Amino acid sequence: MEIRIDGNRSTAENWMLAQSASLDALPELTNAQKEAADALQVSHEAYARNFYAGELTRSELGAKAERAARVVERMAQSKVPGVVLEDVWLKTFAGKYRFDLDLNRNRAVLWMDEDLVNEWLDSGSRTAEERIARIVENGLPASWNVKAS
Amino acid sequence: MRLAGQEAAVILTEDGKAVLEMAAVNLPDSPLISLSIEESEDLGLWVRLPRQDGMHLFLLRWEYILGVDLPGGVAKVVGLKG
Repeated sequence: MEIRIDGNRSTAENWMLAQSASLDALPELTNAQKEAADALQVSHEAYARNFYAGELTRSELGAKAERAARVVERMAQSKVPGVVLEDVWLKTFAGKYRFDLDLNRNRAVLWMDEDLVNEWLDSGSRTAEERIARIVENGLPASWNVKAS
Repeated sequence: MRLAGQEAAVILTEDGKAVLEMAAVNLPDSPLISLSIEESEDLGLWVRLPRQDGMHLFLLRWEYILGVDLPGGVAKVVGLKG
């Protein structure tokens, strides 16, 4: 499974952690990042701190995306045995998750609001879970012989 | 477009630069200014400013913003798991 997170989003908590992190904890910038920092006339340290804040948040979002993907895959497999979740992509600018599923080299794509997935993962909302289950059931191709609820 | 939490480079009007300088932000000569966005709303962008006493949030009104440059489009793979 491939997990992708686009953009460079950080939470305020991770941003503050990064601002006070020791120099040793900061990531070493690539040449491209150093050039980007120079173009913005931002010090390499300040650029590294902002990048680090993004990395901390990206790691958290990646874990959340994986949790969501595992459950979506399980739901899909209950409707279509043999289906596999290949990729999950959190598009942070759109606030959407994209789940790519595969069945015998045929692909289907499911989209879900990030807020809905958060409601489900963070609060265990039964309503959110039911909505997600409907999205999975309705989003799978009919040609995959989806089992009705 | 959800801007909350994103790292962005903004292009400001001269008044916008003056406002940030009044807020004790050291501005580069570059037309692009790197800022961390906390939230976006009708009035403008709430941006994070590092201060000695911690993070401050500063409202940068839309009327001072000429453009916003976001490093979007390129996804980063954060995990390859079986």
